Amino acid sequence: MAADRDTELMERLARDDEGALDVLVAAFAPGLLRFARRTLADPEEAEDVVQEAFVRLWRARRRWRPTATLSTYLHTIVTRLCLNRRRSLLRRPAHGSLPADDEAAHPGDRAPDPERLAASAQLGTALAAELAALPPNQRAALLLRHEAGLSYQAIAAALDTTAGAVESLLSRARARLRGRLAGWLAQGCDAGHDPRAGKPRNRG
Amino acid sequence: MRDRTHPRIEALLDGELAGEEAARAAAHVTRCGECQGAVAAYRALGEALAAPEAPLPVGFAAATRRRAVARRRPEAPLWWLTLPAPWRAGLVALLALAALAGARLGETVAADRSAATQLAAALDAPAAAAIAAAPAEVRR
Repeated sequence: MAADRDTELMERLARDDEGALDVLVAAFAPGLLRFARRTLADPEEAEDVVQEAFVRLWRARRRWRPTATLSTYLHTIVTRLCLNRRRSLLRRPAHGSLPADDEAAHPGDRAPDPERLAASAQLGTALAAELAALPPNQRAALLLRHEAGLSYQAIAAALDTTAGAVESLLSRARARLRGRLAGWLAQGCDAGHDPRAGKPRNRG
Repeated sequence: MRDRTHPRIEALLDGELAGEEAARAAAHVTRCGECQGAVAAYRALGEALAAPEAPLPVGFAAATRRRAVARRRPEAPLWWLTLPAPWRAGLVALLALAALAGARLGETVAADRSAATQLAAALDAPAAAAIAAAPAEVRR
């Protein structure tokens, strides 16, 4: 279904239909922006990267073949642009914007407010900081998997590596985030809507 | 560093296992408390990562379209391609003459007669070439 829509929109694009570009931006740009913002930290740069991805899609509009979904295609471009920018720009030190360690590791000490909204906002902040501190490839793999739903194979293609290496990148990224966000995630489990996502006890 | 006692739980949850391996892993999870914990941790992290998409910044779509669709201006020297072929040949000849003359004049401020003769000969050559070339283009 997505493939049909992709093909139809790209056929319109190949006929220089600018309206199709608007449809594509509306459909994909919000997700791509979330990905780029989490990757680049600078919101303006994130917007620039996403626009650049659509510029490239427009330029490639007559060469495009439905070998991958447009979502995969666009996320691949954005991933590469983000990784290149991170490499080419001397960014501020990766840890500069992180909260102090104790703050992230023991949220309970500093967050007496039990309100879930506040807790989830704080989790968001802590998560953003921990994502920013991940090695770029681990972060990219994690976001491509969880945000964009890409397969290991598609992530491997975007990162110029193998599916096996992607599995290992994901495993390391998750282990690290689980460790760093243990307090937050347990709290989230307690407060979660879905009991299955809570704390399953041994069933046998 | 694959754990031999437990299956690839994350790969299972990522939808990367198929067939018998997937079935075996799923069956294992129902019997293994440790793996159930891993499933819960995976889900909790997944939910934390599932931040909602923010709406696009104002004007983002229009700016993207402008940037993508912006017609490239033709490079500077291309306008002359719109001229008819004979004009082009003439123009080339004229430019060659001007360049040559300029160079020669610069060198030969105190030009003697032989230099002037050479200059005249040099000026004739491209002009002759242009005249020879022009009809060929016109014939097409």
